[in-house]
Amino acid sequence: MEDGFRLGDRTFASRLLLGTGKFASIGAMLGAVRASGAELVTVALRRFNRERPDDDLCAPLAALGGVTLVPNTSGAMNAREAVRAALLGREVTGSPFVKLEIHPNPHHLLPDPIETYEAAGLLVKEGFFVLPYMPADPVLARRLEDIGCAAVMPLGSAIGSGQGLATLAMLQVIVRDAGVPVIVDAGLRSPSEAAAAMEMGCDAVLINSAIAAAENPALMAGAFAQAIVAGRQARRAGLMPRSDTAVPTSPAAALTAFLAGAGD
Amino acid sequence: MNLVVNGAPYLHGGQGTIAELLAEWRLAPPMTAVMINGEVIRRSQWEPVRLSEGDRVELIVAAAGG
Repeated sequence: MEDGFRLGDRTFASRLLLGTGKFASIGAMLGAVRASGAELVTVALRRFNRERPDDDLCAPLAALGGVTLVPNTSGAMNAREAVRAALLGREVTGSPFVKLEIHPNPHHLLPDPIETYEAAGLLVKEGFFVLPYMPADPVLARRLEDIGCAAVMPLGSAIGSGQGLATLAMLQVIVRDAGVPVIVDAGLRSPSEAAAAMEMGCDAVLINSAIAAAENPALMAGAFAQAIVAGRQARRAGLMPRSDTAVPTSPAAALTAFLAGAGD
Repeated sequence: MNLVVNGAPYLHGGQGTIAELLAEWRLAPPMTAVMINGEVIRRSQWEPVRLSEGDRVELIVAAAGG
């Protein structure tokens, strides 16, 4: 496939990863997954509820076809709990991927870099393709790459905040130095922000709230999908150099001479 | 056999195999994880496991999340 997105031992056509949280219904979530074309879809874990035995996500997502589940470690407060969550997620989904997220403070949900680093090392040794949600810190990104993470997932801004690419300057440094895919995770609100992330060289984008909380999630999912394709194509095409001054698109001297001649 | 399953007391009527417990809970094995006393039990290891009185069991499935 042309320009496939290589992650772990697999190659995907779509560079949009979709989270399944906060949708009004499972039906709305499935509609958004379909409209997004996403092949990597995150899920969380919970205790089985005997009162609602049919309230299962794996089966309907699997029925869509072409979807690889990425269980997350949401709820883990430290590395030990995150490793436990990852092991549970692998049993539930059968997926080799794990979205490692450790954000112990519910007020800002910012990732704990120390616990994340420790858990990442353990999970890499366990054979996971580890996708760590992380602060937009170029030093940490390099350290996570060095211990074998399959990608790095720096935040654009706080989870669910819709504040966009607040970390743009640091993301640019991470992209410049990274030897593994850079997936912007969290904080994006509009497709134009996703396009901007792709134009500046990010490899993929993970979206949840911006689609789930849209008035029409399926329509927004399609909008993000197109923006990500456009941003990626623009990156590959190569943006023109920026200039501090105007640069004419028509030969000004020739035009002047023609007009002067025509007026005689 | 008295167990604690998903945080609540549960009286298990069988011989303490994971398959029996899942059947009692009407849970489909392919999309379920089992943890006993904090240890995740891989599916390939389910068969020989025998639950004991007082064991804390977690039966985990997928949920919506980002």
